[in-house]
Amino acid sequence: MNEQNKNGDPMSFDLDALSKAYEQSLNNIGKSETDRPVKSPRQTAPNKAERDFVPRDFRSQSEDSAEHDKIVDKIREERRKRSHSVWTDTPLLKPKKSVWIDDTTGEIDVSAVKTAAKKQPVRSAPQPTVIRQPEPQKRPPQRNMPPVDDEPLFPILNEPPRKQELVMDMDSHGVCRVPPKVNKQKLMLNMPARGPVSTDTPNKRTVSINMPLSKMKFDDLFETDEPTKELKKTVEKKSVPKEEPAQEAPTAEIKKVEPEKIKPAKTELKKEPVKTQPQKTVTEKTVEKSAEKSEAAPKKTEQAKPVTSPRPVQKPEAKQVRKADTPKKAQPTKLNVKKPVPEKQSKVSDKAKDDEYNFSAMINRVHKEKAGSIREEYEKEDKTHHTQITEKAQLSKAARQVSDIKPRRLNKRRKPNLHELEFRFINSIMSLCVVFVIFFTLLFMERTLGYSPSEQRELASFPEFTWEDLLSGKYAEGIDEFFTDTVPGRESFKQFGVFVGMMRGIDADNIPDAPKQAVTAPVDETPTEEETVQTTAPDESEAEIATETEPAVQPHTPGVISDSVTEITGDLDDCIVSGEIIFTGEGENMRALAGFNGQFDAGTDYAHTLNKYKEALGEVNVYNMSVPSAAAYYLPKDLRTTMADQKDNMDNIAAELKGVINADVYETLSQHTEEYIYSRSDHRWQPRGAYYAGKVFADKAGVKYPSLDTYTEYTAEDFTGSLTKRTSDSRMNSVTDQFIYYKPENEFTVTYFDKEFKNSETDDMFFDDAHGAECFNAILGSGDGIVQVETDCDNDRTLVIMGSSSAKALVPFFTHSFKKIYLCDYRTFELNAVQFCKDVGCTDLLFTMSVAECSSAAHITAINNDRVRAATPVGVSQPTKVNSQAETNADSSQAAE
Amino acid sequence: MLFADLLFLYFFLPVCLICYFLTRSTDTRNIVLIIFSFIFCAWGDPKWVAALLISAVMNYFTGRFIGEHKGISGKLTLAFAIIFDIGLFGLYKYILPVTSAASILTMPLGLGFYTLQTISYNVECFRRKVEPERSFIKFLLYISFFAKLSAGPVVRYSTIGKELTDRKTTIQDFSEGFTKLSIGLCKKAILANYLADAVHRLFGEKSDGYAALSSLSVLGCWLGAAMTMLWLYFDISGYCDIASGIGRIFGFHFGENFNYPMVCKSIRDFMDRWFISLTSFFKDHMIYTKLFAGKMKGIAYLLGCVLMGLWHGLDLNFLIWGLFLGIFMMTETFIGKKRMKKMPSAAAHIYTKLVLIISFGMFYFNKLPALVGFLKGLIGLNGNAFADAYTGRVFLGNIWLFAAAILFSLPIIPKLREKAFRSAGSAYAYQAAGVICNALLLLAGSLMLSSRSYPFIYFNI
Repeated sequence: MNEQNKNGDPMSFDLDALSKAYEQSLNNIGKSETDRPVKSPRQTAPNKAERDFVPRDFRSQSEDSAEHDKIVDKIREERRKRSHSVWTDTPLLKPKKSVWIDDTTGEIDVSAVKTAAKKQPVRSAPQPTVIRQPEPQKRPPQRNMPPVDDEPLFPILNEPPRKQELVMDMDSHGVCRVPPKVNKQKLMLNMPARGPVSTDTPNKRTVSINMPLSKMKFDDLFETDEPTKELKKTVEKKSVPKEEPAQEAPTAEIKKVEPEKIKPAKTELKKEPVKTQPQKTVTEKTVEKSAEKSEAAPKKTEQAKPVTSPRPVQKPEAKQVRKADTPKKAQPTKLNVKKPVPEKQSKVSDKAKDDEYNFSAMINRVHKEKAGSIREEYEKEDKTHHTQITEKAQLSKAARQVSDIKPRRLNKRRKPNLHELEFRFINSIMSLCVVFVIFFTLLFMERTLGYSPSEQRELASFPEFTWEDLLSGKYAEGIDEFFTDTVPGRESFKQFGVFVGMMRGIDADNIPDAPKQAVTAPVDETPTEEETVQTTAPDESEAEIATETEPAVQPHTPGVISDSVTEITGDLDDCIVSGEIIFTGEGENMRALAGFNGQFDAGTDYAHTLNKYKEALGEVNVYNMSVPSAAAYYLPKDLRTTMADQKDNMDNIAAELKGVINADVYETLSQHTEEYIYSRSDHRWQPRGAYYAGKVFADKAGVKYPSLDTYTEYTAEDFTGSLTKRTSDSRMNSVTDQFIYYKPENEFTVTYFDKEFKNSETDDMFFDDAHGAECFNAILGSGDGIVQVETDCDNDRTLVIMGSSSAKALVPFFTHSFKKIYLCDYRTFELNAVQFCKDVGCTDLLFTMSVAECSSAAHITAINNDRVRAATPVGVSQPTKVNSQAETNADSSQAAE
Repeated sequence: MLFADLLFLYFFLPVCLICYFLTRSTDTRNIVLIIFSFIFCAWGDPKWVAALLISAVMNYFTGRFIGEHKGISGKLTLAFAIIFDIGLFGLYKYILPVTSAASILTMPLGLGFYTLQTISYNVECFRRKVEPERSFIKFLLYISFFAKLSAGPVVRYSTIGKELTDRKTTIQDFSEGFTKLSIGLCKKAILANYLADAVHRLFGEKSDGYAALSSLSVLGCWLGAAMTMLWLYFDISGYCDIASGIGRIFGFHFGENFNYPMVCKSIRDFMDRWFISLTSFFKDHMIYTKLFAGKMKGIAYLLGCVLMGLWHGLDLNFLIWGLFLGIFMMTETFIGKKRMKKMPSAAAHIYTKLVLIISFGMFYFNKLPALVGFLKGLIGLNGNAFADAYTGRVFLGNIWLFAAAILFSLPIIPKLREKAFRSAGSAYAYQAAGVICNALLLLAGSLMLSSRSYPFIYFNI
């Protein structure tokens, strides 16, 4: 204030004159090159020292720099007077979280900044993000730009002047945050390698400075320790009030830090949004006025650009951007040129001064320049930054060429708020609800325990704890099984699975389980039924031909006809169902069928195994009775070509038998298909079917075989067959079945032995209380030992039947034919079958099993093992109880009555 | 315990979530996850935890030593660590199964995966890409975290090292985690399981000696192989999605393990998209090393594929699968990427799909006679018809499943999202549909688990 003018007179304090002069100088700045009538000598011959460190926008445009300085000093003094206490001369208004700039000296209180910086352990330099506009030629010329005739600071600045925007997101610690929507590659190119960069922050603060990049001093912007006042002035809130008038769009984007919010010695920018209600300041009004005035002038003014912020709440800003892009709104300048304010308006205009992003900086720099204190400092820093930014500029230039469209979109068209966060929140809540509802349901709802009728088995129970089981993993496995097996609503779950399974294709339920072996014709050929029943002929010549045309054979299972016991691999269940159950018929006639996948080689093995028995037993009559399944007769015609033909396989077996008498029951059963000879829900035949088959055998054996009329018929109505547990198809519930069995009138004694033929027990042949899935056990019970039936037949012939569960249906019909009958389940037999036959005085040995069993390697292996197993002497113990069949029949009659 | 298991999804996971989010500090949460990981690991056999602990302790110390010592001592320690890891893996994978101890010592859960992780950790320490982990608790969690233990992916320490120390679960993590979980669940429970069913119908199973293959038509062989390829893709990627989703829920970011491999135009491209964590392991630690620079890179690809096959098991089919793919990769390497790119797009797709179908068909048969029968069947040398009614019926019976599998093996969802987000209205509709579908898929996948499920094909690898 003690400075004197050129004439040596003390400075006058005519504020109006000074303000007018300064306004004039600033107006010159605001005019474009073409608008400016006279180019000042300073512009044509710029001061190189000033050019080096002061952006062109900041430079004094007045030719008389001394006058300018005086104006500046005067204004600063006036401001100091207003902002300082008249009593203590201490600042009244200090930024709360900003660097305090001592207006007295016009310099930054660096010590305060450093002190504050030390207190913040995680503080780092705020990193600016410079976003370039890719197409400068389409933009209006820089309004406040002086002629670009200076030597550029950096190579990047050789480009035509373009609109630049500095976006700086920083949190309360001053850590720079990168808006996530910013092109990262580009961002990194433009970012100095200082300070941490984060893309996610809850407290974002965007600082926007609209000024040409070519006019910027990057070192000023990057320095954390000297956060200048213009930065504070241009702090912009995230959310812009929606009701902000569009007229103010260019200027209202810049959010001002109100003086009340300012505190000294803080480098942090305030977290909470600054109150920026659309209160028009005098400066803004001035700008608007100037904009109105300049409407008639060429529209070459720079438009204020919105802050590029990642926050979705910036939708209002987007509106402003669109409005600002219109020519009408292009007139106001972001750089608010402030007129010299009369004292009456000084209070308001001081507030407006804060809107100027470069004014204080300009003052500061001019002041320093005058003092000559920072020139060298800038020159040094310029060199380093020049190197860095030159490299970055080159890289960014290349990057812009590649991604030229993205930044443009980023700035021009703001992404609308699609409420992704809200949808994610809902999604999380719904998923959590699903998981925890099922969790609590499984935890607290009553579990399905006990017997499952649909699966015909006991469901898993919770395992008992033992250390041994725990260490072996069985305990955990048991819990797993229990948890899955007894899940509440298990049947519904299964039904859903069936429903989804049905959706996977067309007519998926009627697809057989395995390809027909003998099919050789392409699918487009539609062979007749006769053509497709391509069989292996009984005679050897035809069999050879068939072998040539049927190279597709099942891999031979080694050891099937071995002379030593072979380990059985596979399931020995006689209910052989591969794949889905096939349903046929409607209503009461609906029937479930098991598909057949027989292979000729397996049948050959079976026949050869029986041949071995015949060789070992010599005089004993060995019979084979392969029993076709219901699919052989009830399968829909369109599916017959896709399955192996059971008759072919039976014929193949018969052709391979040597010395073994074959009881071919296929034709006999086919004559009675209208009768109830096969169960609808089970893989086995009904006793009536067994009767017809037994008649074929009796004819071959030459024994007596009474008519079916001589038997007493019993019926179990609630028969649930074995196929029920093989499918979860709801149509299975529509299949009604019953089990009808016949009791002979003659006398007989039934003795049940264990597998070793030692411990015995005499009991009834029929168990009328059998029901449900156990109906088939109504004949000879459910034991897996050896059953001996002694009859009143006097032909002294002993029949040994080797078969599975379906063979039990045959036994009642042979009570008139043989004196002794032994029924052995070959799957559980533990003796040597040949030796057993010899020991019991067998005269006739009958192998009866389904065609599927005859084609199963596991079952054939089991039969062969019975032959080659080490022989042990058979010691028949005395039965513990003997009931005559007459007594049994009498009991049954009484029960029926 | 498997991911696609009701006990895991609706008992183990909810309890773990409750315990995890009841705690606050990352250290405590790490301990919670380790406890649950040990329960997960010990569920099948408690002895498996011992192998896990041994591997963790050994590699913890070797990693620290490698990180602190350069030069020959570091190299020797690295060599020792790699030999130890491979030795432990080989002992369980190749030696014990052929000895009488196989019934006592079964392959520990996830040994194949955490062996690769420990090797990569040591190598990264040696290359100074990561700082050795100082905390054993964090390292133990890195090795044993149950989300990636049984089915991968092979997560590197550099990927989740920082998250072991400091992580948080955001709403986005939670949402995308559950979305991935439900997508993976449906991939496994619906697509993979039913595809497996169709494959078993066409080819038969190992237990029955692949009986159905013997009479399968030529078209049936191709159809079965194509379904096998899709089955394997959805099975493995489904489990990886579940793993990635669970990891995301707990604040870990494993990265994508499959990048729509069915859209590849070359076998090398396929390997860049298929099981990325596994293939990148072999690339970074073997193929892209100085040892195989220049023209040796083709041989490196071949060797890498063979090793990848052997990693699956010592069976012949895995070896042949790796060799088969490796030959094509080596050939493509010699041809060069530029020339490969000149191939017409349609031709490139046909070429790659044919190779992949054959290779995954071979992957399925682990018995040599069946494998030979399959190869014969592909070219009609098995004496069967070109097509038959059975193949036609299986195809028609699974036609929607097949179509859905092809559709979802392509990047449909990302494209749909991209288009939907072009306008606000469609974006809202897309997001709302996504929320509903996510909940339904989670429910449907769970319901399907109770009806039928095939074991994970990589289980115990």
